[in-house]
Amino acid sequence: MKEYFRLKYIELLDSMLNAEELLAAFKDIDSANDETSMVDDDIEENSNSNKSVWNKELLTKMASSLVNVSLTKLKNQQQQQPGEDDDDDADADFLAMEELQHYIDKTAINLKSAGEKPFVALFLDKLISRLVPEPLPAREHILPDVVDQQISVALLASNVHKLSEKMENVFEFQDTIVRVLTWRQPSQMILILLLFTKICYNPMYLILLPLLYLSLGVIVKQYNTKYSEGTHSRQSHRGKIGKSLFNDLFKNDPSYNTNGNDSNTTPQEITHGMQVVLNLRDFQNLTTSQLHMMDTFSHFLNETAAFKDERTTTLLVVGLLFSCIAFKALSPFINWSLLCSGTMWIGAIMTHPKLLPRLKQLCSSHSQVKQKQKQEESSTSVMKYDVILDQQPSARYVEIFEIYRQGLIPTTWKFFIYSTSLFNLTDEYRRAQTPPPGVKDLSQVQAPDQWLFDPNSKWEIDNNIGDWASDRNLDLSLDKEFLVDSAFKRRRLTRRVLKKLS
Amino acid sequence: MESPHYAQFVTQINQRIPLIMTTPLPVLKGLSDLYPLLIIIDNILSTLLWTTDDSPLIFVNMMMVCLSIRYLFIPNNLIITETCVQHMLLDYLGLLCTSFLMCSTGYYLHTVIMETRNSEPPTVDDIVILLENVEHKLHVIKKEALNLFVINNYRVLFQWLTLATFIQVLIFKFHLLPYINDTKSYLIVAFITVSIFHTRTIQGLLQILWRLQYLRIVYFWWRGPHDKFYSIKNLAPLAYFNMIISNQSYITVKLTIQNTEELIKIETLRNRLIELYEQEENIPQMTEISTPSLTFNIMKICVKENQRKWQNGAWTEKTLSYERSNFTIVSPFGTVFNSDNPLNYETNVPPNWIKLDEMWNKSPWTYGDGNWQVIGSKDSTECFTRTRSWSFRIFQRKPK
Repeated sequence: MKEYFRLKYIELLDSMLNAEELLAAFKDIDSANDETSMVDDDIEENSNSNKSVWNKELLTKMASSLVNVSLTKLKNQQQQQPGEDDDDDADADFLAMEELQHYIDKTAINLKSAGEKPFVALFLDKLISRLVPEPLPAREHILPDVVDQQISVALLASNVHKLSEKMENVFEFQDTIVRVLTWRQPSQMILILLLFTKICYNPMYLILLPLLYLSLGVIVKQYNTKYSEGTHSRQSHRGKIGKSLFNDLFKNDPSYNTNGNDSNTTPQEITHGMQVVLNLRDFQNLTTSQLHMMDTFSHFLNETAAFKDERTTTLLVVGLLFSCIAFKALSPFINWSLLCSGTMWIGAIMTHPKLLPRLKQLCSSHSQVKQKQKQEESSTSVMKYDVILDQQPSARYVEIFEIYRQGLIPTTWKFFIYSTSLFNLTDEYRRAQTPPPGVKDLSQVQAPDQWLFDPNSKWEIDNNIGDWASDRNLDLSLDKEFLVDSAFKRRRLTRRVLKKLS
Repeated sequence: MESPHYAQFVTQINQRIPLIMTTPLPVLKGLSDLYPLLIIIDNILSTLLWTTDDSPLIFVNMMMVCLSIRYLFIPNNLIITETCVQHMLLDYLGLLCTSFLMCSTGYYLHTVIMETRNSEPPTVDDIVILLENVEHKLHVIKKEALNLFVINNYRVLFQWLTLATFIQVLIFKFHLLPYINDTKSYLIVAFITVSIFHTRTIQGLLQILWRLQYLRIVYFWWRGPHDKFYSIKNLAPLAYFNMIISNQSYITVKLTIQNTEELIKIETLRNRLIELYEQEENIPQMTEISTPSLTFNIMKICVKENQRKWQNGAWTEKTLSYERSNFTIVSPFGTVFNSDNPLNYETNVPPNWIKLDEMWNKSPWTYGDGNWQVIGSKDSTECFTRTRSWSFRIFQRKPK
């Protein structure tokens, strides 16, 4: 009896689910059709109706997902329950009845609790999958059997949570790197430079050093922490006596630095919650700087390298090519190992915080004199006459059809519209008996995007009517420059357009 | 529920009474004079052990010393055409490093002396802690060095000398190591080896390498096995019996005949003999008995079963090739021989000898460390070998 009820119930649920899915699908198709037809309607109408339809659609979709999720939840629970009660005896009928009652109560009460996912997450997932077109464009994968997961709010949230915990190490590593690069630990800086030099002279160290690090730095260290008890040297309360000349000379004392943000907080003060916020802040800074970097790069690609300023880009290309030739010519005379390592050493030493201000001072005093000279030069000549910009812009022709309608008397023709459409008998607008998209005045006709009408040209009537008619495979009667059918006649106007330069 | 109470590690710091009261004044004076020297010694030792806070600095210093050595030792065969930019640069760097190292050493010594002079004088505890640290570090260095070179007799010294000579010949005559081709590079390599030998990394690495079976086999092939009396020869059961018989290392007992019927049953005879054997073993008595008696020889065969702990703490009969095998016997002369499985002995009992025991008597296991040195009767994480003895007795009527 219980089985019977259960089966009935599940059947009912299934049918409801199916119907609901169908409904949603139908809506989707409907709206898609609407959209395609609306594209060709008038623009104002289009936007208005589109908005309202979209809102309506959103509402229905939300509602349908809500219903769907609750039904799914219910069904899941239904399926879970019998699994637990599977080992019941068939004989004990009254027991089963009792349980049935019990379990109906349970489903009523526990509707919200239990289940694999929280209700809100499931709801959001469903909603997203409804709102987004069904097959999302897939990413490329190296392995063929990897499939993109469906978007899930819960997974996304947990990923972000985990990532923010993992990022801690990344930021600590970044801190270490910055500390080393700013010469706060000069010995490590020198060590890095030495290793870099070694790599420069023998690239095999690129493989050797990681291997050595993995074996000696990681595995042997693990061995030591497991087996050796460490040094038991005791520390007296006195500070370290004796100074190293190396550190005294090269160390960049952080106490000179004015950004005392970090120095205020000792490690003990940082709680877990604070750590999370800290990580989020660092993450935010990281993304900001990354976006900034990408902006700079895209600015270079789209402005500097894309002939926004013709002269700069031209000179850039020439300069790049010349430097290529120069580098190629120089390359046989260069000791690459020495050059790379030398550049690295000099760069590192130049950026030493104790040396850099002095160098800057030296440079600025030097360059001030030069800048004055330059300013004098530049004031005399504002314009540069080194690049000749006489590039022909690309030119093409555009066409428009001037359509006339037959009046009451067959010989009278009345102007109908300027349109890109031919509006002949097979034209879809003609068949739909709607006017084609177009304008009433020739001056309202615009050149295509990124193009301009050649101001020295006019709309010209194409007299060579036989050609363009046969190109379009039209077998209609001719009347001077007009092509005539039963109710309409049209002539072809062409005009020259030039590509916009900026 | 009561929270567990943890025992504390043994430290000496809690047990110290103020030393200032108990130390005589001249000693104190001497110690405080020694303080800067102790600091310097401590620092040198920490540098050698790489336990300072700034270990990259030690590395940089090491590199500078190498460059200095390169500069200070003129190569044997200086070819003028060889002097390219890089060589000149390296020589220049060597000169710089030499002078910098000298300055650095002087600066360090100067600052140590100045700081100890200008700051408040050290307390006795400070000095003692420093002394303890120095002693501890020396101890560590000694232990690590002795792990590699234990020279306790002339034979080992000779072995080391031959090995060292062999290596030198390989390096200098046959250029085995690609980098070493003259005294200078040899010196640099030796310097680097010595300076990194005491790092925890190298020590850990050596310990890990020591785990390799082949390395140990090679080492013990060169050094000879650990056991002095161990012979890798296998001794067959019959040979063992003959050895015992010829050495007469069996026990003779006299059985007084009280009831002849007793002797007919082998069981009772055995029991009597076992009784007598145990008496004889404990208190040998050479009493002449006038009553009619029979004399028996009773021989006890002892086979040692050895096992070694391998991975996952599993005890297996597989032992290492240079050490005692699964079953060993100790001959009457004290040499340890490999032996067959004890079960083979039963079929190889020499003629005229009869089994006294029904089965082999197995003693409980005795656990030992990796070198078979006995630790105790319980297995623990420091036990890697175990031994037990199987014993079996046979007897014969003493031939007249």
